[in-house]
Amino acid sequence: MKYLSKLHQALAEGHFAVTAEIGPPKHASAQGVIRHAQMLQSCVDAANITDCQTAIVRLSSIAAGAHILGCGVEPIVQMTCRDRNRIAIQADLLGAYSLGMRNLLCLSGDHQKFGNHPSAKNVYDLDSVQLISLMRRMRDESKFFCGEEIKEHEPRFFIGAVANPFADPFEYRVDRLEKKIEAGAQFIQTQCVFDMERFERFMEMVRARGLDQRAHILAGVTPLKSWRAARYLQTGVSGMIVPDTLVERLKNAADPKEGIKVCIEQIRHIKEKVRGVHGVHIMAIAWEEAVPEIAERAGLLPRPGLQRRAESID
Amino acid sequence: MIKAQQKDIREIAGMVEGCHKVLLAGCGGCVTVCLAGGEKETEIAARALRLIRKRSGKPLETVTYVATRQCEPEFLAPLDELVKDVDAVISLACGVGVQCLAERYQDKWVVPALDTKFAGGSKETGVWEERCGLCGDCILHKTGGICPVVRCSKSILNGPCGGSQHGKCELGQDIDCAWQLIYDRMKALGRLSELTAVQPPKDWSKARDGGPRRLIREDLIADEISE
Amino acid sequence: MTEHMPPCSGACPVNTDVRGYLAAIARQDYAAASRLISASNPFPSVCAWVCPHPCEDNCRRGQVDSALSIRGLKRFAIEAAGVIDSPCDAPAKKTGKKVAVVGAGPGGLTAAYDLARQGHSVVVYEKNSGLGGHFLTSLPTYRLPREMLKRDTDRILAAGVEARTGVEVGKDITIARLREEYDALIISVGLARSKSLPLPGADHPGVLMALPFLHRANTGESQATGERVLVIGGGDVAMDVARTAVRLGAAQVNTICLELREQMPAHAWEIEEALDEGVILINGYGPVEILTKDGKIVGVKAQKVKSVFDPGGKFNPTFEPGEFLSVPCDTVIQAVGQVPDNSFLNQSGLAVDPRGSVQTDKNTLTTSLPGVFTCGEVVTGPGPAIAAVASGHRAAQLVNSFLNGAPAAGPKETEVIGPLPGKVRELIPKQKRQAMPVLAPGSRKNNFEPFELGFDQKAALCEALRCLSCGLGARVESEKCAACLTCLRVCPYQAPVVGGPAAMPPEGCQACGVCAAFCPAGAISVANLNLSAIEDTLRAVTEETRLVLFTEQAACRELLAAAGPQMIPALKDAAVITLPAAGALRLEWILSAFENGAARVVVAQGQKDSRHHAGSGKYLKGVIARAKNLLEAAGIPGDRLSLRKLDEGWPVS
Repeated sequence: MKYLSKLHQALAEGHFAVTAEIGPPKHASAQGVIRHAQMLQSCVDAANITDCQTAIVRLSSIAAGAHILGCGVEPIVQMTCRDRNRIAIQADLLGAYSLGMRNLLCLSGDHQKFGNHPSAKNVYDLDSVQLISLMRRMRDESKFFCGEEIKEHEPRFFIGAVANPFADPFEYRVDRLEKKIEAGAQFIQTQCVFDMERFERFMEMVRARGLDQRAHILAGVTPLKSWRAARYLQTGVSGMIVPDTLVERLKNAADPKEGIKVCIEQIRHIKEKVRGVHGVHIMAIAWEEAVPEIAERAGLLPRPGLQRRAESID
Repeated sequence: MIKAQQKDIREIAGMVEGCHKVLLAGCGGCVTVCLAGGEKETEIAARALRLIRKRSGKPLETVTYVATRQCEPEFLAPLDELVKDVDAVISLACGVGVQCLAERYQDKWVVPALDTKFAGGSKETGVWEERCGLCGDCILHKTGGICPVVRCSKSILNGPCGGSQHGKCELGQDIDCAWQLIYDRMKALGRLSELTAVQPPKDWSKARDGGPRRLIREDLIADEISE
Repeated sequence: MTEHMPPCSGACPVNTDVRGYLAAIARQDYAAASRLISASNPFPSVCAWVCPHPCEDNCRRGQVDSALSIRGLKRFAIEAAGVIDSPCDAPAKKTGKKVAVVGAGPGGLTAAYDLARQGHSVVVYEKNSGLGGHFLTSLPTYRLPREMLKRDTDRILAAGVEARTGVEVGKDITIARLREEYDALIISVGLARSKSLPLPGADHPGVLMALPFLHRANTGESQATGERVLVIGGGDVAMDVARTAVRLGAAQVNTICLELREQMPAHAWEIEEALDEGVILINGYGPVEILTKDGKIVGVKAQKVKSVFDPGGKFNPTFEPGEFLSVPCDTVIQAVGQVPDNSFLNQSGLAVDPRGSVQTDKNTLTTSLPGVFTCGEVVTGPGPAIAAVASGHRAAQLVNSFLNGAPAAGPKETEVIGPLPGKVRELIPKQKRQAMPVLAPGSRKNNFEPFELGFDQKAALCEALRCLSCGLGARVESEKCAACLTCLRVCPYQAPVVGGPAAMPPEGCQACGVCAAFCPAGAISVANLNLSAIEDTLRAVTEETRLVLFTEQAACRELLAAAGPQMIPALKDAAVITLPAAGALRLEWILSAFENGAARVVVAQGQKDSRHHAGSGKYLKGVIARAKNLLEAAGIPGDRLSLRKLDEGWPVS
């Protein structure tokens, strides 16, 4: 069997996968990205490179991906629908593939209102479901989005999508996940899980429909640096649920690294108790250096030393 | 109907700064209904401009007229006489009306007093909300009669995005999540299964493509030759 | 277009512009009020005291709380202004035609007054020594001071009417003779004689008749009234008789009538006032015999009434067999109705009806002889004086056209505004009717002093402002209406009906003017809002104008009640614009005031609990904020415009 990427292989072979997130800088130097990549190199299977997250202009996801690839970390290129129309998206993704990117995460993107260019015109020519479906068709049927044939060298991404079990309407979130899987999503990274009870209910519905058999679900986890960070996520960010008990625990903790402890507990719980979850996606917001420790103490290391056996077009 | 809003009076005053006499042209159509450019607002604008100019020592003379609808050339004929001795025309119509006046009075400085906002309806007294994006390709039969193109901040056709919580859009508590509304309504109608179909990308060619869109009704095109 | 008449005017036989004069009182233009009162009524002073005011019975405010005290306000206006002749009073060109009027009651004098003002020479023949008919002879002086009557009759004489009093037509001069001397004749002799019941014992000299009894009382002639008086009858005249008997010193006054209390033809307030003065009612008994002993009256025997009216509603009393009552008394006064005195018919050649009265066509007011007309109670039967006045107007109109050989104009097409819709009733703020101050029963029952004291200015203004201004509401110019629904959305009463172009049903519209202030198309006009006067006031504003005050009527009243306009120095040079409701204010007016140079503009709202229109000012704050923004754009500080509620004290120091 040929795999589309190392991440694909790890998941397909039944490893409990670990991904992390690298946020590119607001300038034109790749040094920070490279340092992050080197830090993550031995403890993740792949790393997401965000695409102008929260609509703040940053070094591009694809360019950053090229840099970390050089450090031996497999990138997951993120592509939002906010900034590019269908022409730009295809052009960029052809380029990304040519640079060696193999994983693609398709998402709508945060609204520009939240970023540093709130007066920008958003695009949303396509939405995430459409993007997934068209990228799958590009790979499997060698067709551009318009239907025109790609004569040779079609990009063959391992396609991912996101899911948010904490947004509303709750039940419909599973429908929408199914839509994405139906459209071609092979792996799913979820929004940060803090409300374990709700996540488990979500997974129960996912399993009931057999969706965990049709795509690899990676639960998003986040170590919280402080109780204030927790309170901010609880009240200031739409589509997040942070239980009060967690905020209280962080508030009362003596250990400044209580957040890491919580995160590790969550990973262990998910790995051992929540069936259908095939890995974790660690989003250490502004705390990237915590990832190796979390991976280590959560018993996720060592990562399987996979050779680059993925199919390639180069 | 079209909803519009009067510009700040200072901005309007700035547009006619060098003029001595202006015609304020109101419109009896949509902008009367949305209380932005009918007889009353035309009068208010005229008086406010005169007051501003009088206070600054450069009095302004105003003439007012309210056309039945500025978007129809036939209704503009009575303006022909009035525009002759004015230095500028201030249109209190939507962008359509402004352009109709500019087209008709080639040698006249025509300026807009309104910002044309959207196609919408009344929510309550003094509150209007957008309902139609004029996209040219209606999909309301697929979305429970709720338009995601204008009512979803991202115009997502396969929504909702991850920012939807408690029925509200991530952009703010005063914005209903269109997809929550769609979901609720389709659920109530027992048609949730229809939402599982992946909606293909929108054909935006029907919305904005190749200059102004044009409607042609063949049955209303006179056939001069065979007559 | 059919005129929508307010029900007060509709109920008034002469269609007095009640709404108009109430509004004039509210704005303290008493001269205008008085002119409007006199316009269709040559007896304004008399009516101000004694009119049974059908207007009040039909007042729509009665559907909300209680009817306006219209007669009380009329008296206030007349007293405040004195009678003022209506503008058309300039002497008309003499026509050379001569008219004789027989009888100087309200009907005859009205006809004479109208004809004289049309240029005819009019002579009134009256058998009494003075003018006024029942006003003079029958109405008790405690209800009508005679100087009020004189004021009205003087005005009638001043219009050129000649009066020949003490001349009895039929005896001193015949109808036939009058026909030779005059081009036309109007007979308005009224119902001058009391009816008498044919009871056993009724011929006893101690059995008195109502009209002569009242007449004697009014002229102060002494008459033998015993200690225990029994009045027979249940109408207004019976009440007048009973109350007069009380004042003449009778120890006990009973009235007896066939009807139950609620069926009595007398007005409720008359009955109340009589009871207050100690009169005792015996309802549901019909007298059957005057009991005498030793040549003296000792009582009246009466039988219990089974029913007064038959199933068809016709007066046809039946009695309970064998159920009798005897009421002891020493004096009996019959007040069971009036009949005409037909002695004028003597040698007249006029045809008479089976009852011996002059034969009359009720529509044309003509008799069997050409040129001889009738009017008043002779034609209409018993009724309020104001109905006789209306009949006099009609007679004058018909005689005038007879003399000119031109057909008389038909009556005006009018429609009376219907009742308030239920939801509107709920929404109108309740306002208590001002009670007419009266002398206490104890201090009025032993004299003939006028017992109603009249309103003071404060009470009158309060009362006048209760008027709902029926029919002065919004009208829509349908060609301009964009059917935007704004009127419906801002109306405090949800009165507009917007299907196509808006319609404003006069039943629901309360004339507050808010819709017109917000109509984006300028399609609404409100009769209650004197737009041209407002614009004139604004045009007159100059750099010298220190203040332009927009005030709702209620606020204005409070202001005046507090001090009077001249007492507030800041108002001395102010331009004051009164609005039916503060919500009727228009942004354009504020801009105009400043454009013309006003230093300040104040918008005053009345105190919350006295506001005439609930919820009409809920948009004011927003309008003021928008106006301030526009003013600031012109470099005028926003604080030169202010909105003040009188709850917070008077805004101008």
